[in-house]
Amino acid sequence: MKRVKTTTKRKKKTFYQKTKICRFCADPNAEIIYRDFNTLKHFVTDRGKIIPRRISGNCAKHQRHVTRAIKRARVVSIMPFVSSTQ
Amino acid sequence: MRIYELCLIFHNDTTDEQQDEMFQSIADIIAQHSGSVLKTEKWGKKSFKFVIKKQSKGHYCFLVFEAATAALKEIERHIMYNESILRYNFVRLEKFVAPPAEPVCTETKVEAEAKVETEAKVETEAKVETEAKVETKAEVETKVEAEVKVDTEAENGTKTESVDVEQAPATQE
Repeated sequence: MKRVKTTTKRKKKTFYQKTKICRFCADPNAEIIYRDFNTLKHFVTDRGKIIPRRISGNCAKHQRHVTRAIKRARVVSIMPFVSSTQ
Repeated sequence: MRIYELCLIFHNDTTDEQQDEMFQSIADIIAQHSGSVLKTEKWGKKSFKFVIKKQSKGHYCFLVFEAATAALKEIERHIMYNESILRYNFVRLEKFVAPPAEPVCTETKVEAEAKVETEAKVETEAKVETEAKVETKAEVETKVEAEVKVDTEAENGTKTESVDVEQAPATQE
């Protein structure tokens, strides 16, 4: 077995980050309504926690609207406060 | 007067008629406060995401209405006495776009064409008038400018004369 020498210089890690676009800014017809479970479910983890802006890609304004909608939906039991993993 | 949306969750056992009765009584209260019901929506039976009052299913109903704030208290009191309602929630809406109830184009074709013609005529007349006005204005402006020029020239002339007058005694001395 031939041993491969490791290079002393470390290679710089290259990160590729996809530019996130707020989906509500991109589509002017999209609305954030607390009754609409199908749009809100994208902004919640499996456990039912609200996904932060840094991950969801929403702009500040629409993230505020989304959180408000989720909290309203929780009151009426459309969204879960906590959902246990099976 | 503001637009609100009321979400009602009925008990699993309630019938459609009972729900309609409730809607009617709420609509009466809204009418008393000089408001109006804009939209009603029924989702039917739906399972909850968590248990409400030991129930895991219920009927979802939504009611969009326009009323004064005083009506809300009255409605709330009315809902509290009804045991078939598991949960309710008021939400204030910023805007409400009513769905078009009837087809928009109700006019006959001939009428519509006649309207268009009259509108076109009015527009052309208005245009002609405005143009005429603009022209007259422009003329007036040019006149005013000319007058102003004359005035300034006259002033300059007087000034120069006065300067001469002042300078004259100096030279005499």
